[in-house]
Amino acid sequence: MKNTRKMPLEGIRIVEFTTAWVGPECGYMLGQMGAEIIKVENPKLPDYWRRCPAFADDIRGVNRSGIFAGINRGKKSCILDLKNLSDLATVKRLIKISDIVVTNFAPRVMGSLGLGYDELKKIKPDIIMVAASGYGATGPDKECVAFGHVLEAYSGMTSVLGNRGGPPMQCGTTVSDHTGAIVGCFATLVALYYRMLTGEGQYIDLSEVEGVVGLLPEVVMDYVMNGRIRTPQGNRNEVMAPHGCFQCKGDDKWVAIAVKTNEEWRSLCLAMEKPELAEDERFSDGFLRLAHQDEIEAIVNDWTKDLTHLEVMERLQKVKVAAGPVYSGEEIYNDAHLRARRFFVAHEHPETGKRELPGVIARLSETPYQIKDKAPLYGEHTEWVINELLAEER
Amino acid sequence: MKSALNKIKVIEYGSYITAPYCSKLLADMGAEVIKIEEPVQGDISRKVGPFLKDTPGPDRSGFFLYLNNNKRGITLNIQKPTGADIFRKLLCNADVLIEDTMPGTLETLNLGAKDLKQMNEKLVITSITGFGQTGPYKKYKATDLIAWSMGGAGYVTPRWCGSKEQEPLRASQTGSFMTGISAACATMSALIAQRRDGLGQQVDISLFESIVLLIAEVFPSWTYVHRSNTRASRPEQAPQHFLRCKNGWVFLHADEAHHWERFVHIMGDPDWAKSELFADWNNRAQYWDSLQPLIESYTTQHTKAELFALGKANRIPFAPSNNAEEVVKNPQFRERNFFVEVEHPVAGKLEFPGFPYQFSETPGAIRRPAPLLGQHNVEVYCDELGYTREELVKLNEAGII
Repeated sequence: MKNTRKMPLEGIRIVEFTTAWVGPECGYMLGQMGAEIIKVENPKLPDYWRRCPAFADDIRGVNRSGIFAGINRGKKSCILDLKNLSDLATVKRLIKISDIVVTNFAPRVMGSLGLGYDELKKIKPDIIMVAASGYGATGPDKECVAFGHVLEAYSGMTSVLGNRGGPPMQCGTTVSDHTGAIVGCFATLVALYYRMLTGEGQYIDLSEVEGVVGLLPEVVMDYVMNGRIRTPQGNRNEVMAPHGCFQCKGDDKWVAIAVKTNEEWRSLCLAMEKPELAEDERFSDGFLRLAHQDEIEAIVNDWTKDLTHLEVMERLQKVKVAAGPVYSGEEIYNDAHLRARRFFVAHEHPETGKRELPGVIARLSETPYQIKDKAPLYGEHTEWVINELLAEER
Repeated sequence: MKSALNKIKVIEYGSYITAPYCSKLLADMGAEVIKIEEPVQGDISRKVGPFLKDTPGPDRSGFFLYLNNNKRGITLNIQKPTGADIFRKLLCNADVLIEDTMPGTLETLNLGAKDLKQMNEKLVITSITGFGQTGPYKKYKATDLIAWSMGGAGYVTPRWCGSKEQEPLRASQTGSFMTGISAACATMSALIAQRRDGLGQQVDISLFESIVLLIAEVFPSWTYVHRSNTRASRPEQAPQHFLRCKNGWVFLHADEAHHWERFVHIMGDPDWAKSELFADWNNRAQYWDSLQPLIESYTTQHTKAELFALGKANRIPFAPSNNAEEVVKNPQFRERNFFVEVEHPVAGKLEFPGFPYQFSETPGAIRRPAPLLGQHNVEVYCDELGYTREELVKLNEAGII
């Protein structure tokens, strides 16, 4: 009886005109939910991530990129030249039998190819088109060249990222791209739900940079409400202290610790085997702990430096204090909890063999997500799309 | 105006960011969300700043107001048997429960997935926790910083700082917000399946896993080349850096030859740019320490706005590091009507970040301000669940609402 229900998006076909992060990652998530994803690829210029490292075992190749695999597994790849009229006709036939078009080309591009929403609607009246771009399809900056880290500067995110009193710093991950992808996934699902109710499709103009502003309400609202411009504060927090990362035993090993309540502070002191600190009036409430953060951080660091980050996590979590290691990629791979939850997924791949990568974005009890296949080889399904999928529809 | 989700009834039993942001996203698209808060105390985000005019108060937190616009609010203590009964009644004809309690908490109150499913088979239960419903850490405490660190984002932030002595940093609380969006995606997919099959299910979202998944450039290096990127690494290509200018910082991403050449041109084709040292993107990265002051001798002569205009005209990926004021007054956001004004009975009229997407048929909309604590108790308990006013008083006196 178990899992006899179909996956949420089974029977939904999505055509992707995408490259790099936002579009592919959005399509990838929809694919986990059961949609069939056909990625249309440029014959001259493969997807950005097909051309960028990390390549399996450091050997370059369009089918060897780990990041590409991470966000394109389960899709079908079909090479078609959108500037060639016969290929363009094929694309239109494909759209006719599809439900959703996802693109992250610059806003003017789809229209100039004759694939703007108005045209798509003529081909497939209830089509849903999700067009993601850096700044959105309207406004004075719509044509600005948008790369992820550029958008994070523009969004205000980096104005508060950095050491106290220091300059803006970059995030190690392109929050803007990943946010755009997941926001795009949500928007697509909302549009699909509405189509189930009414039979109507629609067009969605998604702005990545607006997605990032939406994650920074404290920054925006402090200006709106108080005229205050926030600046970088390291890891410090307005209500928690200690709140930061502390060096541990080993090369570049750190542990994150966050303490809010008096009870947590007392537990931390006992775990550090410094019960006298729990009675110390300088640290006896949240206000005082914030006022004495420098001293507290020095004390905590003095304790963590001789322990491994996992030891600190275990000792503190046992007494209900929030703590966890600052993990590298390797440590994530070996984490016991992720292993117990079978988080990683590997597929056989003809060029790179089996490689484990992170799995599904959510665990659904009755219609579990699934990454159906490896990432497609460049153009692997072109023939299938033209000779089988489209032949049947003739 | 048409809305996509106006028939969907959501009960939110959560606090701070992840669960409230998840249900806010649904509410903005039309879902009817009832937010349950602890009597007296309320959502902890009511106590988190910024506060209007720096005056703390439960209805003056910009953080709380942003996350809870568009919801109705009631108070309820589900730990008490009568509170648990009311919770069941609320869920009887709901479509979705979004909750963030420690795994096992609802089960001990006989409000676990099995109990709820028996009562309402179409219910979607979205549980958002630090580590998920299973596994050895399931009862561990997580905060945004802990999950961000464990998920691998801290190890690589700040990017290219060049030193292992630099404390790993987080980027505001973006990891928690992204997890809220992930949960909203999963909830929507379960609603699509519910609409088709008439049945609900349980959705398990882990903050830790969401961060590993949402920083998709970090992990693959390990299984593909057995190296872990660190924040101390240096870039292989440049420039992709912040540069000083007259009134702050700009970020230049001009590593590719065509962007770099156009940038050299707007600097007036200085002789140093012809040096072999800076001939290609790898060289420019290798000799970045020499290159940066040369570029800055140009950028420091100009303002952020001037440089952004030049970047725009010359199609170079280049943007100012905007501060809060520059974001709020930004012409791009203004022309797209990104900020939305909401009038709240205590906080008055305020602008909030709006919707990052414009739907042609079913646009997002703010239909009501964030609730006062227990604002909709009468409406929900008396008008909708049928309790009398006298019972409402008794429920209040008993500390249940």
